[in-house]
Amino acid sequence: MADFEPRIVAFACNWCSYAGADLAGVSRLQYPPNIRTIRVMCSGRVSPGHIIRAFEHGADGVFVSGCHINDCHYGFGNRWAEKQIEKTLKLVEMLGIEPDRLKLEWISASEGEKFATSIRTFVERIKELGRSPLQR
Amino acid sequence: MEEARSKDEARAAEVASLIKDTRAYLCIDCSKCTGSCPIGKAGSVYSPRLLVQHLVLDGRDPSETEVWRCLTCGLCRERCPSDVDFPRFISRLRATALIDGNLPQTTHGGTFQELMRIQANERLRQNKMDWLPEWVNARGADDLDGSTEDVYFVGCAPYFDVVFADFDLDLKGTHEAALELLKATGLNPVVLRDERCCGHDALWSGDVELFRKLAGRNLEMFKAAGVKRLFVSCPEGYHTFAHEYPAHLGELGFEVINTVKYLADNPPPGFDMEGDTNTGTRPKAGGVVEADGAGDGGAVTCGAAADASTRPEEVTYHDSCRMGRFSGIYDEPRKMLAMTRGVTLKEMEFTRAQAPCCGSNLWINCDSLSKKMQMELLEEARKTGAGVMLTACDKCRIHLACALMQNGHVSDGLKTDNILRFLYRKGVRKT
Repeated sequence: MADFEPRIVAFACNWCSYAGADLAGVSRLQYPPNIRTIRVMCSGRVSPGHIIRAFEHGADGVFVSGCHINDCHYGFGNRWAEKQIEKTLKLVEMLGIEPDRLKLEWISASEGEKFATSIRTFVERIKELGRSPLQR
Repeated sequence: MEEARSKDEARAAEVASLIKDTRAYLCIDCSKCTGSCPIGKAGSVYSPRLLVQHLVLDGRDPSETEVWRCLTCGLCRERCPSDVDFPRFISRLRATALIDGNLPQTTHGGTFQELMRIQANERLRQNKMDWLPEWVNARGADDLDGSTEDVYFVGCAPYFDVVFADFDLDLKGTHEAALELLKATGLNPVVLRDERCCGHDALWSGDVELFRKLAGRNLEMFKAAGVKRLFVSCPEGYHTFAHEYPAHLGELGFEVINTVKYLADNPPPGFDMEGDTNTGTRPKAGGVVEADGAGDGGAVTCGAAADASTRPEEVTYHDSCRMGRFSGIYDEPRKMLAMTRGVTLKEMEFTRAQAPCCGSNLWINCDSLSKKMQMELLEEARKTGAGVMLTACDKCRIHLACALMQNGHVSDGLKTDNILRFLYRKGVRKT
């Protein structure tokens, strides 16, 4: 599986993480090209349904990122996201998909470096896990 | 152009056949359906009569919202003098709506629709059965040898337990209880780890293709397991396996058995009271509950000598649509309750085929009307004076728990429980 290139869906919130990804870009920080970024208004908008749909459509991993706790543009959106992801992790595991394939990370608009590192670590972890069990 | 015409033709053919199949052409314009519809009762305007009339006479489709609004509860069909199958009429129209790109408003961010869709994936291997009682033999899809004759179908309860963890309903407990009760009758049913969604919601939401896919996977697995009898507790699942699978995919080659019905016919030890004697008490018109001395602080209970365990527990029973109107199972749950020691059934004003809808279905279109229907149903149950409202459908319980969470003060301490869980706790509980 040396040539395995995972397909990863990354949800990024409009106010922090998407700007963080932008910063990683304009700062010319290198990270693997395996992610397909989807901008959402808030990490709280990402429902278990979106994540399960991503896996169903062939994603090897799903990365959700939002503002740090207490920094949410809408006040409590990321707390809701935290709760949703906790439930989704259980659902994903019941569906026979390794829970490590789903990751939640808080990345602010100033943390371009953190965005690049998080994606790098996540891609490495997915490469270790190999193809999604639904795609093998 | 060619393609558009053939699409239109296919559509016209489908509409003609659904009018025929659901006997919509027999509509006599009496409007009993509109008067029966729980949506109308809750304060909105919804007229099955007009929808049928518009399609049959003018070839006019329901509006984008009307096609999704029906709860498919079947009360209109129950009262229709011409036996027009309106729930099926609307669900077949949904299939054409989907082709037109008219999608329903899903609840919970579409989580349940996606859970359903992902279960059609051939490679899916699930881990949802870690809670089973130790004695239950659970088999994976790769471990089937055609020797498992009695199979118990669990369904989506483990997933619901995760999503609705806040309600603390213990929906898996229903199936644990069902398995223990079946064991007490001398059976040893096997559970298939990789059973798929039965496809009920897909079918009634018009996604026949997904329904067929899910049904195909299930039947393939049942065949590999060598199923002779399939036990199902969930009313939706039971109705789907027993009636929809044969209608869509032909002869099943095995028997589909409702757990409550089976238990009523083969009562396990612990259910030794004379059946059929307890008909329950009905509230008088206007909802006033008849005086009953056995309630809390009643005159019949003898002071300190009567502790909670000897005092009969008062319960009421809600006939869910898929259990009652769709499958005709009314007497069996009542028989089971009559056979249970220390339980009195107090009937609601509208029961059996006239039972109200729980207000929500298929994880689409939940709104203030749904909440209103749910609170009205709970109010009906509360009026009986019973402390617990039993039902066979755990989806009803989820919807009602959701309404209670928002309007808790009206409930007066009324609880809901699944009838199997209740029976297990009352009857053959482990000593």
